Amino acid sequence: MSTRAGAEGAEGAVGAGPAAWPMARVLAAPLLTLALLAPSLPWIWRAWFSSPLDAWGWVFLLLGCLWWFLVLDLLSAVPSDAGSAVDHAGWPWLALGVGVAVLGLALDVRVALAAAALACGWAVAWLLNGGRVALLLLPALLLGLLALPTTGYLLQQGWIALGGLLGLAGWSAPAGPGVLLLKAGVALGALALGLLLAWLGRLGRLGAPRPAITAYAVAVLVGAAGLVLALNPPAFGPPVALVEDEWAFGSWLGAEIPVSPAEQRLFADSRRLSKRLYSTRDGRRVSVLLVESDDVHALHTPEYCLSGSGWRLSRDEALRDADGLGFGAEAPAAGVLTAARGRQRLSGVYWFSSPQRSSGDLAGLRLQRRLTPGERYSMTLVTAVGDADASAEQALGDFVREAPWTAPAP
Amino acid sequence: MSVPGHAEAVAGAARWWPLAVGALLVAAGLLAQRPSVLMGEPLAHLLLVGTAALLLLHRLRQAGTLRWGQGDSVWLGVGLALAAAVAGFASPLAGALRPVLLQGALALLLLSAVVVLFGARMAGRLAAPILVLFLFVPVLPLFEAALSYPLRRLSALLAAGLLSVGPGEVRLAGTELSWGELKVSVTSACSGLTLLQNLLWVAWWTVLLRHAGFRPRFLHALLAVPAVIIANTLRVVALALGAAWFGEGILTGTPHVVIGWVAVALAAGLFLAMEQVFPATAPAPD
Repeated sequence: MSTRAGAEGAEGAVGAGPAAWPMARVLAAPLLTLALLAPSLPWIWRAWFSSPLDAWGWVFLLLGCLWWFLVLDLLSAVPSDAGSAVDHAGWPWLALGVGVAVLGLALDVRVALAAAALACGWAVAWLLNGGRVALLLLPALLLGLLALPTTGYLLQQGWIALGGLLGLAGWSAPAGPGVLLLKAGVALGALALGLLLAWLGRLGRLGAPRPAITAYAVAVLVGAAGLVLALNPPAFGPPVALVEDEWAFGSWLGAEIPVSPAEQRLFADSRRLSKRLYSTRDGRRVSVLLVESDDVHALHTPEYCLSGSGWRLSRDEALRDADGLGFGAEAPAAGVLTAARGRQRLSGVYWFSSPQRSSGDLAGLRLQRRLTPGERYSMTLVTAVGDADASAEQALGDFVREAPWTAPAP
Repeated sequence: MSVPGHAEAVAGAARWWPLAVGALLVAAGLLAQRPSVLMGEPLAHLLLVGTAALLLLHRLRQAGTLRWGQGDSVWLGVGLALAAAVAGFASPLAGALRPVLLQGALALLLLSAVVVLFGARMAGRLAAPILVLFLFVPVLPLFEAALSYPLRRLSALLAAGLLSVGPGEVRLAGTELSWGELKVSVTSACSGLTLLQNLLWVAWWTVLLRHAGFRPRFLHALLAVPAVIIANTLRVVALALGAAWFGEGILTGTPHVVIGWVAVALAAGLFLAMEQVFPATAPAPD
């Protein structure tokens, strides 16, 4: 990856001689990306080594960087872009990146800020180096996104949703190491796309997209985001909590048990981490995990620790009346999940709470934080484990029906 | 020698692309339906979905080939996709209208793809079947809930007016008719909604075969509404008269069902008779 290769590539892509592509044009995009990503780096670094769904993220980042530098060599094969020094087709992408950043800042979503940094860097590369170069750099952007924490979780959710959409019974999401395979599959797809684009470039068939086409691509992405939000609207309910000083109720008897090392690692910044095991004489067992924190970032969705413990999720969606969990009129806005590990079956319900309201997902919690800042936040996870779907679901239903829940008025 | 053959093969393959896109749209449309609406409700829903799917495939077959991103129609696609985004983001705030905005976002997004792939003209031809498939049928229960009372009230009001021409005092409270000693309540089942749903697909096929262009088709199809109101009002009057002469037993059982079917035939006949208002404008291209 010599400087000469970069200079040649620059000459080829812009088509106005080396003077038209000074080194600043080549370096501007990666430097800007690095600058925008810098505040997120500590969080990214920590997640790579503590979260099972985000492990090995640095490999994808490394691959992305390698691809970026490789493109500088490939540029010599790309036909020149005649015309202005700035490719205006890049503006919609920059607008999208800025929009995501504003949303990330408004809701305090770290992954949105990091993704926006990558998108803005790529858009600047488009503006300065042309659409064909940006298309060749697309795999680097995709690999960079795969390196970010939370993308593994989103891929897992997408996989479960795909199974639900296709109506495939028994379709389950991969457990922790399986998510890495899923990410590796996406990465291979991105690299294959890059090779295809490079080949088309060598054949002279890689055209620079028109501004209208890029504007359409961005509009479709925004429209698809709106559709996803419409399908998964944030919902709020009463702040339901388990009455803590009642260790025995109905047929259940509870005891405090130690949390697992994975849970300890994931919720290391929490103010309180407590786990109880409730059991009955006939062998039903339900665990209740309670995490409290002053910082919403210290809370995670339970899919992280479950996937890290080898559970394969087959269902993960919002709690509905049809689920028949006996919270009564004071049901929290919650998520329900089912998972399998070998012959074991798990059925669970979880929700995030502030003193004001409950929510079934972290996005709702972030929204709560903006609505009523400076409060204490908690996550409650109730899980039942059995040998078959029915027994786990029945144990969970029995426990929820008999447990002493409280929903203090805000 | 082989070059023309190759060109023909490429052109032949290209002709299949629109049909493939159509098949994908129909498959997505079937996924977008609620099984309870499609299978558990009147046959009219299934017929509407089938008609929309048929029209989609038929019209895309005429598209010839893909016109990916040509002309200025891409900006129309951008506008439609952004409208889909607005509908999607507004959906969580829309309360009872949430399903309408959700399905609307999906329909607009797909319509934008049609604009970009086949041009604005083809999108205009596909707009009606796409909206029926992705928006109208999936939210029919919502329409029914919204239209039930107005239709019941209208039929009761018109029936009261007709009955008041004859002897005896007619009183109307909401949707309940009092005629002498007799009380007839126009319930949801008597609202005429089922009649309307059945007549909708009859009307759709009629206007497709009799007219060319959206405007005459739409205006002619609108006549289905007065046809349904007239037929339903006459059904309510017939039931009231029947109950007065033969007893209230006529309000339930076989006579009630028979009168219902007669009303369906009457509504269809009235709609077809109204063709005099909208004579066939041109041989339909479909």
